[in-house]
Order: sequence, then structure tokens, then C-alpha cells
Amino acid sequence: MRPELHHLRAQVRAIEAHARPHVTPLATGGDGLDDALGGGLAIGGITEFVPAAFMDEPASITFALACAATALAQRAGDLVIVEDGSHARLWGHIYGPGLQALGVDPRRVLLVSTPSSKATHACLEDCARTTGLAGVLGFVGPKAGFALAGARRVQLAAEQGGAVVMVVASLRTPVFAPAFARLKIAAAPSRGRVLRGASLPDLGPPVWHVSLERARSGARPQTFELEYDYATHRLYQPAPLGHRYSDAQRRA
Amino acid sequence: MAFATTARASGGVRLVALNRAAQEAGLSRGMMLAGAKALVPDLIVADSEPQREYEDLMALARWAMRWTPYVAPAKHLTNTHALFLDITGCAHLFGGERAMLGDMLRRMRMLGLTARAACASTPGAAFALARFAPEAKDGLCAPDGAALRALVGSMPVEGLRINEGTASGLRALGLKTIGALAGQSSSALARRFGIDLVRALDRARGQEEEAIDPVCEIIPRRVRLRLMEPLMTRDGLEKACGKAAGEICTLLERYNEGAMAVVVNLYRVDGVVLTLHGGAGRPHRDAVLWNRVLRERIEALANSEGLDLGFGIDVIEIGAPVVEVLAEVVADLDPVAAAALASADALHRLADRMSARLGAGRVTRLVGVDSHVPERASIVLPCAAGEVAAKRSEGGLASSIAQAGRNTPSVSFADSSPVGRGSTTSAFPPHIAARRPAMLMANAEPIEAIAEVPDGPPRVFRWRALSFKIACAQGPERILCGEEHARDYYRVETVEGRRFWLYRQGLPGVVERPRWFMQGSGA
Repeated sequence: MRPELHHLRAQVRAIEAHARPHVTPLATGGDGLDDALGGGLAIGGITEFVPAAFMDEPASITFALACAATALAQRAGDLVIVEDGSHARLWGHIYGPGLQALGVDPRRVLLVSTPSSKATHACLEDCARTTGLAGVLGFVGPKAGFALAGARRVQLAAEQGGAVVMVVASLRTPVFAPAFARLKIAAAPSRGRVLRGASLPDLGPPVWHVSLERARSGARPQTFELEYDYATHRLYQPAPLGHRYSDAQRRA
Repeated sequence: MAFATTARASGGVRLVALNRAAQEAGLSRGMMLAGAKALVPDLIVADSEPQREYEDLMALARWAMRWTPYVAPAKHLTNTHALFLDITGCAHLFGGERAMLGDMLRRMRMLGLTARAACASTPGAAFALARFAPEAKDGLCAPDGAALRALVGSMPVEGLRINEGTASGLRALGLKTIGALAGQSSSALARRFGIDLVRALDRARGQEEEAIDPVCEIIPRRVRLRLMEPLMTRDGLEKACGKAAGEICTLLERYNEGAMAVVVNLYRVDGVVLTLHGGAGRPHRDAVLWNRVLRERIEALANSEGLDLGFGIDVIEIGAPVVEVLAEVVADLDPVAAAALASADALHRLADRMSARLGAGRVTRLVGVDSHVPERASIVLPCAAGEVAAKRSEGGLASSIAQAGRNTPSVSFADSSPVGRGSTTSAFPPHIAARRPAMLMANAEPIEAIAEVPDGPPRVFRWRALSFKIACAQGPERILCGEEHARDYYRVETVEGRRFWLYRQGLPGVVERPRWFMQGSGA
């Protein structure tokens, strides 16, 4: 490579590093994911969650809520949920008891429902700029495609306010370009507990396949399996033990 | 062109109201339509609409609040349209009673109304004089005491706010004026015509107190700005609202209060009152914030219905219907507390801004309700006070305090401030919350499900034209929801790991075919 190009790159890096003071990211608890993201969810940046399939949309929402629960546990302030109604029409409205079960204290949640994608941008930007929030969670429907300019404004506002912005896209939402990381979420079968006398095993902790599609940290695309513990409200990467049930055992 | 409205009355269709041309042609109120048509063949006739007339009168009453907050339409009178204005303590602002009456008549005429006005020490006397005194055409300021009684005494009995039957009965007895009636023994009058007549007589002569019932609730904290020239532009309106916000905050400072909501009434020159509602999540008197909220409301109004300033706005009235005494806060000593307070403040501002921009109903907090019916256990309440409550009572400035107060306390930010969140109790009972989905459909969707055993969880179900195979299930949780059959809820997970919350209604054996419904996802 030509030396001028090296020089130019170094310059750009210096400018970016100067503009963006290094902030310790927000650890999610999933070790492999945190390592790949350079420590966890970006503080002062956007993390985007996309479902792997249409039917995985609820899973991507619950995963994002689990991440929000970790943010609430680690940071002071409230969580603002901005939604444009498209997820609610498909999967139902955000439900207080369910939030509490996931570790998101409903009393620390401010719900904002916007009438249009333009208003969604404006609200996300406004929230991202507000200091003292634990996190901002946006649900962006298929029609409310993020224009590049709007997304960029949210990103800049997040940098300014040091906010943790999480955006749950729907399957057909265009790529949220300036995001720090893009995670593709798929539901995965949980390790159900077989109960004697019951026809079906009991539900285990929820499991997600989280694929890191791209990250600004430069990590290569990779997939992690993450579980969530309802009792301690923590995400973790289950150890690959040999004593798990095989699928054949589960169905037996 | 002669014009009249008519209504079906005793004996047939009669005239109810006439315009000047019809009056000059010799017609009068209460005349039979057939007779009127014989006199004036080209008379234009329309049905009288009492309900819409009343609505118009109420609108006019609201507009008349530019003179005094105590305005009430005359009640229980058919085909009589009158407004009572209690101008106690207001007249000097308009240059005295005479000038005030002149101003009223002039402005009513500008609206195309024929108005008569009289000012007296009691509503009853003012009514009688305004109706029947010839000077009332240009505004009559009546004297007090014996002179007033003499003046009222010369008025006809119809000035007593009594129904037509009583009036005609009195006329038949030769009692044509209030003075003649006052000469009679009141016990005899009460026996013959009822106690109402005696009371009406006492009220007209100032011997019985009468309070008027204002159309809008009176807000003690309010400021009005009278403008030299009518405001025609949005820019000017925003500036004036900013000034009004400053004035109300100065007023609130005097009482050490903060406003939870403000209401701005914009009086248009042409008799229309526009209202802006602004709300806040906690009481404050920061003029800059209120100004920003009002700007957002103006913007929202311009975007939705369009901001129609007509021929301009000449009076702006700002009121704080919901106020609270502000507690003194000393936060500087403890840096952690100061930072927490600053961030809570930032959140309040954010919520107020978004409420103003999107409408209060769109910025909400989740609140638990003590109900075991899943869809009723969690509700959302708006963060900011004001608009929602105000919408319910169509009173403009009277955005009812009580309702607003009832609406807001449970969404106080106090619990959610990051420090001092000492309460260990949770919003919902934990043992119930643990079994609930993250998303709940308000209306459950019917699904087709096949269960292995009749009263067990389903193994396969079809929902939205897709089939799902269930790997894990938890349940049933039986909930009685006040319907014919109890609901048996199951949390299920499909073989792919997708989680849903569904229920069966009706037990096999009890009903022929139990029905299955999908109610939540992300269980």
C-alpha cells in the first residue's frame, strides 16, 4: 500500500479518536459477544438488533429488552422506549409484568409511541442527546426505514449525550448504517427441564443465537449462543457442556 | 328580506325568532306561521334548532370571558338568549362600567349580533332592564337602591325570567309591571303561581342574592395580555406566548408554586377562542420550558388542523389550572445527588418536550392495576398533566383540576429518580410477573391447536397461516376473567425456540370444543 494512504489513515484515526473519547462499553454478560464488540454495547453509539426471520421478531425484542435490563442494572436513570406501533400491531403491546420478569423495572420505563417515522427519528435523536438516561430502545418498523441522514443524526446525538441506543429493526427495515454493531437475533430452543408426569418438558431459560453481522470494532462475523437468567437478570454464555439433552432425548 | 325560525308550539307552527326586516313588516314572536305568511308572503322560514343555538350561546359565553371570568348563559328559558357577566372588579380595566358596556355592544355588533346590555347590582334586575329598558340598546348603567327598584318596577312582568304561562296569567289579572306585582302580597302570589314567581320577583328587586354559575372553572393563577394590535402571524403568536409564559411564571413565583399544566386561551377578534394546552410531568415554573412546550403545541396545531388566526388575536389569557407548592431543594452539597437531580431534570424536560410535540397520550408510563385479568393488569398513563384531562371537560380554561389531579399522581417521577429509589416493592406482583410475556395483544387471536391429552398443553397449533410445533410448555395457569369459561394459560416454546403465551377457553368435557387463543409473544 502506498505510504500516503497509510499516513491518511493514521490521520483519520487520530481525528476520530480525538472526537470520540474512549468510554468503557456496557458489558452484556455474554463473554464472547462482549469480546467481539470490544467490551460490550457501545456507550455513545447505536447497537442494532435485527431478527433472522420474521417469526424471530419477538425473540429480537426480548433480547433487546434483556440488554436494556443489563443497562438499567449498570446505569442510573430511566429507559426510554420509542416505538412506532408496527411491532405492537404484530406482536402485542409492551406489557409491564413481562418487562418486570425480564428485569426491566416498569417504573423506570418511559414509553413513547410515535405517529410517523419522521417523529421516530426526532424522538430517538432527542432521547439520545439527553444525558442521564440508562438507555434508549427504539422499535423501528418496516415502513419507518431509517434514512441515512436521520440515522446519522441519532448517532451524532448519542455520541454527544453518551447514550446507549438500541434499535430493534424489523425484518424489512433498511440497514441502519452508522450503527456500531449489527446483531442478528434468532430464537434457539431452550434446555427444557423434563418433569415427571408432564407430557412436555418445562421451559428453560430463553436462548438466542446472536450473530454479529458487522461491528465497528472490526470483529469478524460470528455467532454466539446466549441464555438469560430470569432470577439474576443476567445474560450469559452457557458453557458447552457434554451433559446437555440432545434433541432426541428432549423429544422422547 | 324577512326571515324567521319556527317551531311547533301550541296550536301549530309558530314563529320563534325574527330578523329586523320581518319585525318591520309587522311580524312578531309567537305568531302563527300561517298568519305570518298571509302578512308577508315571501317570508323565508327555517326550523329552529335549540341545541345549536345553545352551543352558539356557549361559544359566545366563552368569548365573553375576555371581559370577566364569570360568565354564564341564562338557563331554563326557551327562546331567550342572554348572558350574565359578573363584572365585579373588572369594569375599571375597561374604563368604567359605561365604557365596558359600550365595548361589549360594539364588539357584539362587529360579530353581526344585535345586543342590548344593562348593568345593575343584581342579575335579575340587569336581565329585566336589558330586555325591556329602551336605553339598554346603548348600554344602561342602572343606579342602586330605591332608584333601581323604581326603574325595575316599571318593567313588564316578562322581565322576571318566568315562563310564558305565568306571564300571561299575570297579565290576565292586570298585573302588567314588576312594580304592580311587588305591591301584591307574596303569600298570595306563591299560592296562585308558585314560589318561583316570588323568588324571581325578589331577585329582580335585589332582595334575594343570586350567584351565577360560570361556564368555565375559575383558575386563580392566570394572567391576561391585552394587545394593542391584533396578532396575525404565527411568529408574533409565539413571541406573545413566550411573554405570557414569563408572566405566569412570575405570578407563580410569588406564591412559590409550580404549574403541572398551563392553558392558553387566544381570543380572536371575530368571536372564536383558540385553546392551547401544555402539560408537564412535575410542577415547575421555568418560563423557558413552558415557552418551548407552547411552541410545540402551536406547531402541532399548525400541523394538524391548521393555525387559523382569523382577523387576529387581541387578548391572550394564560392560566395554570393545576399548581403545586414547590419544595425547596438543596442539592449542591452532595455531588452525587446533584448529578442525579440534573439527570432527572433532563428526563422531565425530555418527557415534556415529547408530550408537547406528540400529544400527552403518546408519552406514557406503565402502571400496574390490581386486576387479575391479564389485559387489564397493566395500563399506560400519560406523563404530562393537562391535555387529556382538558379534553374531557370542554371548558377551555376550566381544564378541570380535579380530573387532572386524579390522572397524574401515580405517574410521578419521584419513584423513578435514580438515587433514593429506596422502595424494594415492585410494580407488579413478582410471582405473577414471572409468568407473563413481554408483549401482550389487547385482543387475543383465535388459533387452531391440537393437544395430546384433552386438558393438556397443545402439541401443534396454527396461527396466521403458519404451523408451530411445541417442544416445551409451562402451565396451565387458570385465570377467571369474568367470562363464561375460565382461561387456561400456557407458556409454550416451539421447536425453534420461539415463545408464546396462549390459552384455552373452556375445558374439554365441559364444552364441546375448547377454543384456543394466542395472546402474547416473547413469553
